Amino acid sequence: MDEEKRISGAVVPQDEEAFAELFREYYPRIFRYCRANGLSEADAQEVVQVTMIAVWKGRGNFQRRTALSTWIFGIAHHKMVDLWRQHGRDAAVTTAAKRLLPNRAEKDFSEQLTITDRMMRALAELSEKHRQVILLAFYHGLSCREMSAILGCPMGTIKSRLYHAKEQLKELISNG
Amino acid sequence: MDKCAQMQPLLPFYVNETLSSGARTAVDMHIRSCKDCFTEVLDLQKLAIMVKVGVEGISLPEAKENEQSGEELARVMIGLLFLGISIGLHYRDGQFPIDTKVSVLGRTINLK
Repeated sequence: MDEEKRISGAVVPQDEEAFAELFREYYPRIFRYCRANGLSEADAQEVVQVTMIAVWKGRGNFQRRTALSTWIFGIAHHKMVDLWRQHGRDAAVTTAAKRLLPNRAEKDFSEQLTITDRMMRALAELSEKHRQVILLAFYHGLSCREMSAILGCPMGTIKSRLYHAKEQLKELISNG
Repeated sequence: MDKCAQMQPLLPFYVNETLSSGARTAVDMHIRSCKDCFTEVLDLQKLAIMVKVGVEGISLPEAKENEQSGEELARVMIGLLFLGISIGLHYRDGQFPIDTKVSVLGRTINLK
């Protein structure tokens, strides 16, 4: 789906029932995004909760210039970064890789690894910035402009970062 | 800058289908005649699917809860099994030797 179509369809639910539907749709995506970024299950759940509270409280401020998903993922991303700051970013990032790695002896079980195990291992090897652009582009399916808005950097930087990130990820997967 | 260098940064967004129609047409035209960029698009499609499938495979807490409830059920089943064994061991001469005297809050009550 292109950006224009997603934006034209953007509506923030105003009643609780419709919002519950929105929660069911976004909860798995935000939760998995956080887990893929190395957050613990409890932290990922916390990010989902504070994100959805912020979406509900801020529903009157939503600008239809952006896609609803971009707005929500943007809030989720910033809530995740806030949590990293609270917990100490370095410690969180260091433990992130460990959380993503499957708890198995690498060589003996490499044949039995699932696609999720392999992807998590590879993502854990990427830098935080590279992991984020990969997930935003290929998991959330966001445009360059949307990623630029969420990450707060120019589109040229996003393109360059994504180019290097996917090269590294391809290499990690082929070697894994 | 050659055409490939211009197109390469657009290819991930061509694959995730977020390019504007103009840019998409430009990439379409280019990959028809450029084998390297076409191969890169195929690689990116494969990578995008792997990311999508890989991340979608991360289990949600509900799934874990189901696993836990499965464990709980298993515990209950094992408990029932041991209860059955215990009853079998106490069965004597067609009846269970039940002690009818029960002690409750320091008082002994005879259930007979």
